[in-house]
Amino acid sequence: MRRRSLRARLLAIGGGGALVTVVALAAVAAMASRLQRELTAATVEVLEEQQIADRISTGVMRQLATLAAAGGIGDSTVRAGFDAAGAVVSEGVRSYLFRPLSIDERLALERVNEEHRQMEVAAVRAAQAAENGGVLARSDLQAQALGHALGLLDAMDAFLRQRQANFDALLVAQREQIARLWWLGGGILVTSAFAIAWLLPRFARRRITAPLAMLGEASRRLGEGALGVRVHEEHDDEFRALAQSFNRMSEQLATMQADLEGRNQALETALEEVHRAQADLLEAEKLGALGRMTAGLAHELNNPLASVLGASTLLETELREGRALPPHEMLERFVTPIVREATRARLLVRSLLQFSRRAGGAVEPVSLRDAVENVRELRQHAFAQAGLRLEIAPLPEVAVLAEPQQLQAIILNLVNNAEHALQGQAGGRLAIRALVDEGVVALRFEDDGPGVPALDRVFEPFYTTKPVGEGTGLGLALSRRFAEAFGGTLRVDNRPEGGACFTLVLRVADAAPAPRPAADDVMPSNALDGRSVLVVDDEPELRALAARALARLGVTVHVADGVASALAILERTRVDVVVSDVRMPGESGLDLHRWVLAHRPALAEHFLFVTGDVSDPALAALAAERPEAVILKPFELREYLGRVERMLGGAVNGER
Amino acid sequence: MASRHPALLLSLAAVAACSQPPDRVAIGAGVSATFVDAVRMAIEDAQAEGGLPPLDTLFFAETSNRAAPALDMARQLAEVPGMVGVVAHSNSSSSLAASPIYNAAKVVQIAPTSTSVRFAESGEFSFRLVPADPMQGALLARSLDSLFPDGARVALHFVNDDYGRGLRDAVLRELDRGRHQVVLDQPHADHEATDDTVARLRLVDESVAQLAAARPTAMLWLGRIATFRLYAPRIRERLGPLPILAGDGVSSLTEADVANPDLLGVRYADFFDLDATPAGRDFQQRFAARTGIAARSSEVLSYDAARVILAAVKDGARTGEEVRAWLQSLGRTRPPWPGLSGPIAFTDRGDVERGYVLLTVGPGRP
Repeated sequence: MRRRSLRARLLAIGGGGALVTVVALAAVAAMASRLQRELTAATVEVLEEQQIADRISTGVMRQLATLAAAGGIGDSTVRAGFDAAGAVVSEGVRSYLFRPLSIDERLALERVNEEHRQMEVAAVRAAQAAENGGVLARSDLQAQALGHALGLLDAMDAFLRQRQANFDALLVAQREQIARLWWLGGGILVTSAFAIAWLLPRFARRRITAPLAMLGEASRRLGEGALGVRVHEEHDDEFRALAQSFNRMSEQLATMQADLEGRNQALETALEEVHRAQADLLEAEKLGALGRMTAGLAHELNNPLASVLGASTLLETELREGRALPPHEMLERFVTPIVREATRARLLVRSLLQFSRRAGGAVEPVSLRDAVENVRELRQHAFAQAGLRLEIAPLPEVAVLAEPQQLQAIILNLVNNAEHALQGQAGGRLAIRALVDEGVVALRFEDDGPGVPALDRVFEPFYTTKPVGEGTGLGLALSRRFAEAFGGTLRVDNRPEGGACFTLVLRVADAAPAPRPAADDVMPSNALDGRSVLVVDDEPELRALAARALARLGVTVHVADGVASALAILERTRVDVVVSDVRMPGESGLDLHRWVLAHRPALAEHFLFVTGDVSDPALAALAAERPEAVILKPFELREYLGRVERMLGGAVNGER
Repeated sequence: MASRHPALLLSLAAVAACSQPPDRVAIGAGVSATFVDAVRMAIEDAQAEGGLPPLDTLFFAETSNRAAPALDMARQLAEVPGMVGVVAHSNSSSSLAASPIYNAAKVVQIAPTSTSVRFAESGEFSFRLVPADPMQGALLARSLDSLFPDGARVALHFVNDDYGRGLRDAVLRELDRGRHQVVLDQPHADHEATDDTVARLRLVDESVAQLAAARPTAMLWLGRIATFRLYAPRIRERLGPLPILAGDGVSSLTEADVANPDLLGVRYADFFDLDATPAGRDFQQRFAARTGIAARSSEVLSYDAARVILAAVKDGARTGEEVRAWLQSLGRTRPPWPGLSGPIAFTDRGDVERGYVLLTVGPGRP
């Protein structure tokens, strides 16, 4: 099949059809026109012949009248008139000669001609006889002339009737031809209309709608994901080009999909690497922060420890040298500083433990004041050491929606950043204040530092102004992400008067924060005679300290260095309260608790865990269910004894 | 394409076959009997020379000067397959009346002796070997001038048909009216010569009486020899040795005419002097030997008419159209054809331009 464009095909069909129709109609019209012209010409000829016949008749009559009225044929004027009239007749007859006459018509015409010639001869002779006398009577010659004249008229009449008959026949034939032509023209139009009505839908279906339907079906399949779908290209140019484009598109889509899948795979691999890198970075950040914090903590702890050690050493020296000072002086000079500094160290450790707890819990009401206080406790001495001021305005007692550890991480990060920005700036100040307004709290951190050089980039991951090795550039990015996870925001501005201002906006919680275990400031002093407490700890010093402290309650103290020895004691001795470390060589305190649950269920409610880490999920769940069952190391002795005393107060006696 | 339309090919082949020149050609004649003899002789001479295709012939001998029989002859001649040319007819009226039939059939018509002015209008297939009437009229008028320098009383007697009326009009146009006086202008009809009735004889007598009454000193006979034979004795009887000048209509003189004392001294126009050339005399001898009849210019012209058509056929013409084109090329792209009557080349009007001669009936001059 020869390829052509749809346009060319339409033009060819339309033009060809139109041309054929027009040509056919034109031919019919030409034939009709020719017939019409022939009819017109025949009509004109009939009229002309009628005029010729009139001239012939008139000429004959004039010739006869000339001879009858005039004096004599010898008169040249008379003869000239006679000849002129005769010439009209001859011319008239001869004018027929070159017309398309039939043989019969020509024969009839020749009869006219001969009758005229003989009429003229007889007429002239009759006239001459009248003038000159003669043998023949003029009347006889005139009769001959008249006879030929009548013969001429009869012949002329016959000729004309023959012409009329022939013309009528021609007229009828031509009218029939014209009628046939009309039928032919109508037939052509009807045929053309039928051909168009029959061919056009077939053409449209075959050349237009079928390819369109095929393309539509292919497009539908393509849209459903059948990227390998192809369409036939054996169409007219336009649809072939469309089909080729479709096939190319389908092929390209298949290629692109394969490429996309490859890229997706690569992206997934890259994403995994990024996640790993991010985890590594987070870990690095965490470790870095921990390192920095540990370094600061060591510094912070060294001071109270140095005080404790100094006071203890002096106390030891005083006691060894036997210099008995009054108790209140001993208390004021040695014991009170030791307790104060040890308490300070404890607070530092507790704050550190708060940060060491694993984040990722649910967003819950958190005390904003406690969160800030924890940070302050961690960093205020560092600020003081650096000659900086950490000023915290009185904070409202408001609970905000946050994950506690992440909230403290945000605050600590902002405080650390400010400290870094204020380094070398004596008297530099970080002011923290809170503004409560319509369900939100804006916690503002305003410092006197140099401000943030690139406000629009400061929250970008890995952006940092710190020297290489001192920061990961993730602190602020993570802080903002945490804040947004809480439903709040973290933004930064440079203060007009200088310095940066970070604003942490948090939602106010409807509920109050969960109560924190409160320390009992009162050292129990009343003895609980007859009761027994089992202390399980792998650290001998702690076991001895616990035994001495518990002895002040007047209870019987059993000590075990591990779970196995503890079980042996429980098997043979009545115990009212178990105080156990969690992490120990071999089985843990949790294993012991499970044993108690299984074998001494009533004792399970009098089980006090002493631990420095509540990261274990089972322990965390237990602490969440029963906060009184867990006490964190290091602890104040009063709180420790208070817990044990409250448990002993509710203990069920007699259980083994 | 060809394999898809075998029917069309067959049709085309049939058309092509029909359009090819026929193997045989036809030639015809519709003239007086002696003219037909001349045509036969011409065909025989041409066939003897060789180079002709097989010929079909159809000859009609005219027995009257009326146009009606000529029409029927023309129809039959034109219907002959392969007819390429005819020698027809003997007089102007017949030639003129039949010419539309030949032209419609595209058959060449050569009228050997038709002089009517109107014949030139017949059509492109109609030719003649003589000039038109005006030249003959001028010849006769000038002859009157030379014979009657002081003028003459002229009686015109003309046959009232295309020939006689045309010749009469030409003479009257050329006649010096200041010198010559037309005292009688009388028509006649040719059928008077064949209608040998008492009434007709009285009619001739009456006409001659009128002629005598007009007291002419010269007479112009513008009719044919047959009718003249009827009138001549009465004219001599009534008017004695009246000088008579005649048109070419009396040129077909027989031996009896030449010996007829009533015709003695009659001067007549002829297209050429057959005795003046050896070829002419040779033709006379051959024609006489063949038919026993003395040949006149009309027979020579009929002979030449047939020969010139056959020359075209011999030269390859196989249709009337080709013969016509060949004749038209004479004197143009071809040299004039050398006829017995002289070089033959046709004008645009289909005439052969040649002069007239005035001959006298008398001893030694048939």
